[in-house]
Amino acid sequence: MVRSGACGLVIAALCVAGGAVASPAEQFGFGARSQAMAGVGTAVGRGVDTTYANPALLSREPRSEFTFGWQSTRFVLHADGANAPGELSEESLHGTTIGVVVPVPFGGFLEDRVVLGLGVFTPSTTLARARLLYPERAQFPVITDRAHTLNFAAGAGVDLGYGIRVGAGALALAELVGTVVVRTDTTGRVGTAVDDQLITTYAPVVGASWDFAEDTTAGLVFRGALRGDFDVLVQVNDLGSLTVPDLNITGVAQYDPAQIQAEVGRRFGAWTLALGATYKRWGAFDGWQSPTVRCPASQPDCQALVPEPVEFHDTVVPRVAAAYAFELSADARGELRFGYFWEPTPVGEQTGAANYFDNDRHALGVGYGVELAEPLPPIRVDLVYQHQFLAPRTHQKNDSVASDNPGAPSVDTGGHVMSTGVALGVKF
Amino acid sequence: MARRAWLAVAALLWALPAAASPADTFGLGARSAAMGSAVSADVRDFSANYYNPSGLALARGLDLTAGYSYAAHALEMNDKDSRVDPVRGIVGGIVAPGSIGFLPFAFGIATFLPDDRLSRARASRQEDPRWVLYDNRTQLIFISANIAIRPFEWLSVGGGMTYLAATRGSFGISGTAVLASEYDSQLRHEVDADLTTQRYPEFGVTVRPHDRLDLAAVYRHQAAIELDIDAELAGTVDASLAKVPARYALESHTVNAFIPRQVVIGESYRPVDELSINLDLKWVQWSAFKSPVSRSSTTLEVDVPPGLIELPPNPKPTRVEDPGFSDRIVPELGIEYRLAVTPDLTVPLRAGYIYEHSPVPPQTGLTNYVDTDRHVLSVGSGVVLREVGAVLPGNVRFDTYAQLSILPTRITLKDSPADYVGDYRARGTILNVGASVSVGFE
Repeated sequence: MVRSGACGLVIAALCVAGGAVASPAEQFGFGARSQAMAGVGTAVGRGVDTTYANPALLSREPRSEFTFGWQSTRFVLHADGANAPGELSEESLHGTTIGVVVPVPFGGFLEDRVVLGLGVFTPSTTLARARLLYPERAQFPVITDRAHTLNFAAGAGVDLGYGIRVGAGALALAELVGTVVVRTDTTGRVGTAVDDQLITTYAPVVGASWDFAEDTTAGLVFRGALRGDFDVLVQVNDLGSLTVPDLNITGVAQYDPAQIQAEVGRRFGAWTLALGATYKRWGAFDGWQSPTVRCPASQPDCQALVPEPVEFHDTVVPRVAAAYAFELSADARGELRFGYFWEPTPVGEQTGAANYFDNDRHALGVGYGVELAEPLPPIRVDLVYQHQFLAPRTHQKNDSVASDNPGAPSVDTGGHVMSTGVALGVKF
Repeated sequence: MARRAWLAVAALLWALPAAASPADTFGLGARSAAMGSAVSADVRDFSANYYNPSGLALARGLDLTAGYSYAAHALEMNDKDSRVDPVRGIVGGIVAPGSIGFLPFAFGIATFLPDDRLSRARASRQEDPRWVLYDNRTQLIFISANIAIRPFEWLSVGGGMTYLAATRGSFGISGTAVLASEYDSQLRHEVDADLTTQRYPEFGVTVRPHDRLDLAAVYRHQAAIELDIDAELAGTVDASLAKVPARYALESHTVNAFIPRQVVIGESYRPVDELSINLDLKWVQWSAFKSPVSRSSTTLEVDVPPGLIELPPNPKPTRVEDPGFSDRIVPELGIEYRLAVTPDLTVPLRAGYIYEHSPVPPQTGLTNYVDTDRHVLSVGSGVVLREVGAVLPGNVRFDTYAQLSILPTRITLKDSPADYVGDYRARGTILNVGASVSVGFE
């Protein structure tokens, strides 16, 4: 017999994580020039790119500039094995970049020393994504879902003199917190009372640079960790003699680790070379999933399911980049850019039931920029293409894993991430 | 040159971030709020991002503003406080003018950042009384970014994009619920939710036909925050004697914080250099108002052996009544007198008045959207200091304002004597105060 019934469903404390995350910038770099140069910019960044790369370098900008850009990224990821799905269907990322750099026209000892900057990358359809799939599903959570997130960076740079610059800013986005209560109204119809709130989470960005020799600059930047939690408490009432415990729909929707990026850049005539590394503190992350049912104080040893822990470890990402500048005419300059970084995976081998796949990535960037000068219109156009190769990886499941697990008995993962973009800057 | 600037305008319209509506209710910025928001033809500070983006191109130099505002509601139903939350937060922005070649160009950004939250979506049952224009719509962040150009000395145009966040998500729970010991239930969950973007544009134009007269027209598109939630609990109920397959599903759709389409025309007349007299007329399309009541449905399916478990009957889905709001035209009047105390010190004196006719029809039936007409009286003052030192080649401005909204009594008589809420009398006041400091570079 099938019966339909109804009830009051109380969903208390709904926290859809908007995740205040810089993930697209953390994965690809921010801005067309920085992306082409494999995410460098802590010592050799320019324009609105420096709001993320190193806000200290904002103070190099002599004129206000408005920048508009477009970025499109495609994910081709696969998991091959006896039960594995093969190629995974992942939504492409499309989005726009808006930025502005504004020198503050102080006089006196502050003249030409303070510059403000704002950079925003907005996915075309989402501000943030919270996607917490069952652990055994084949998925690449470090690569795909983290990219579908707004990137908001604002900061200021100050030229202290003697070749020393400092800057600070913040990365920010929103988290959604609230309640939903479902109950019947006075007419006997079901009604929902909703009360949710967007709240912000922030992470600091602090940077410095030092022109310690002619044509040579060193840069250092710290970015704080950004974490967006998802926390839904579901209370099911009035189901007759059916009783259900409080259901905690919780987890981490977005996470960017704290990181330190150091870089040295030097100009050799028309060439600019940059060498750097980024330390990412992934070891502080304890995984995406949390228990659905939590044992009450009166029953601490209850038999509720606890997700398997996910192993994360810190990583160091080395980067190298070059740019070659040349005259196109008396009023126009071009620049060719190249870059490479290697990003080791922070995720351990998936030997249990979970299938959180991630691979080491080799990224190659290439770009071209044209900048016009007076008397031509003060416009800058930048093109970029970045290709990330996922190094092949094999996950061997242990004997306790069910034979129908998508990763059993072993699974090979790999793929490509291809990102292209264009940016238009106008000085005013 | 103009073509490049329009390219930038088009780019902005595609993507710039911003969001919503406390400015509709309380104004934005100390000067503009003090003048009854009648500044569409007389705005060149950061508040131009809301009132008229074309005003950005009239700024003389980089202008930075930071301030704070606080609005306290004293709204009553049947002499009982309706407990509408205050609206308070940091307000500020930047105007960055420059030129592209010979074409004046400006970029601006303005924000109202509430202390407690960026935004709130709230929907209650259809019959629950609510101050529909004040209890939730003002609990929003306002972030607006715009650009403007001035192709001729007498003409400036500007525009930008406001963009809101909506929530769309689903979650599923699966496993076994143990009736005898609920915390031993073997349940787990997954989530797929997006915070999605909703963009809406705004445009403005300012024309100066005479040295002492400015005219303006502004368009703001409508928007709404939406919240969609789907939930499914699917699994097995362990009832000791039998394991019973069960499925519970919820679908809920809510439209909240509706922001109506608006068209503003305004003038600013300066009979003498020290005096500005402004009048704005604002058409607000409240007839497009979408009900904030959630459309919900639930389903419980359990394959129950007879006599094992008792289940309640299934409620019908929500049937949302048409709110039936009507459009309105809002007159806004503002005046400013700039008293020059010394060559380097000016004290502006400001006042304003707004009348808003309630767009809400008589609530004689099931719904209880509470609202009355509103009279808004405002005053403000400040100081403008020039030549404050070599570091600041421009001026420093301190501005403050107070705004009192008077909502006269409105009586609602229900058609049914057995109505859930019954007849009621609504009235109240809203006090809004704020202050700001600005630095203008020239």
